[in-house]
Amino acid sequence: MNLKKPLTVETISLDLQGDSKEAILAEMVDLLVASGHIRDRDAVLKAVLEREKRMSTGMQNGIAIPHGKTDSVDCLVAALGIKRAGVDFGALDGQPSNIFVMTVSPDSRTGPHIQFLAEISRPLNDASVRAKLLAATSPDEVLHLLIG
Amino acid sequence: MDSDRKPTKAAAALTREVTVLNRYGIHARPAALLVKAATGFAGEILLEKNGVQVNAKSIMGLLTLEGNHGAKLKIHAAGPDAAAAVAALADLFERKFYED
Repeated sequence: MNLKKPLTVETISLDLQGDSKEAILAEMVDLLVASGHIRDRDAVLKAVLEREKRMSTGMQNGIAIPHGKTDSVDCLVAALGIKRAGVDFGALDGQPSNIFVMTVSPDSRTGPHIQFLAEISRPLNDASVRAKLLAATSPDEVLHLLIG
Repeated sequence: MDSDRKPTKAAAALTREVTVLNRYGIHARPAALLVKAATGFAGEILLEKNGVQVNAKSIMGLLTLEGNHGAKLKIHAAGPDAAAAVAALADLFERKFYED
């Protein structure tokens, strides 16, 4: 499925180092820079931080989906990061977040973001998949769990 | 697609059809608003699109629906506060989740 193309082994980190929301977000933007699709790192980080200020993207069950819109990308790009110890992301359920899926999409297009969220949420909604993600030992394994 | 629905639940439940009116659809923020509203009610609340039902108290569940602009959904609520629950969730749809 084309929508899963944004997620590649290069944009997956199994061991995020940051201990704060800001540090995690910066680390994940750097993962996206590694994908080669971002023209302006600082513009992307700013978009993601501003979005986070409006309402935390920390959801439930350890999942956070930070995202932003900027014309620094031509198409939707995505990264996935794991921080087993968890970080306080101000999540809706009050629990620490340990699985982060970041998407950055162009200002002008709205459809792909909702589609990507739906695709990625199906496996993430499954507790056994979340447990396997947290135990994964390679980016390939993560991709396989999410994309099959 | 409704074959496994329990008759007793169907009889007790209320249903209302709603349309996704905001431009960006049910992304993270609208999903969070729906969950916050839904968790205030005791009974089970489900959202349905194209025959697929998810728990309205689960954000990741709501996001799997791919509720894009114009999508038609059904709110199902059961329990003693079902009417208020349906009204509260439908209100969020009608107000476009306070966005464009």
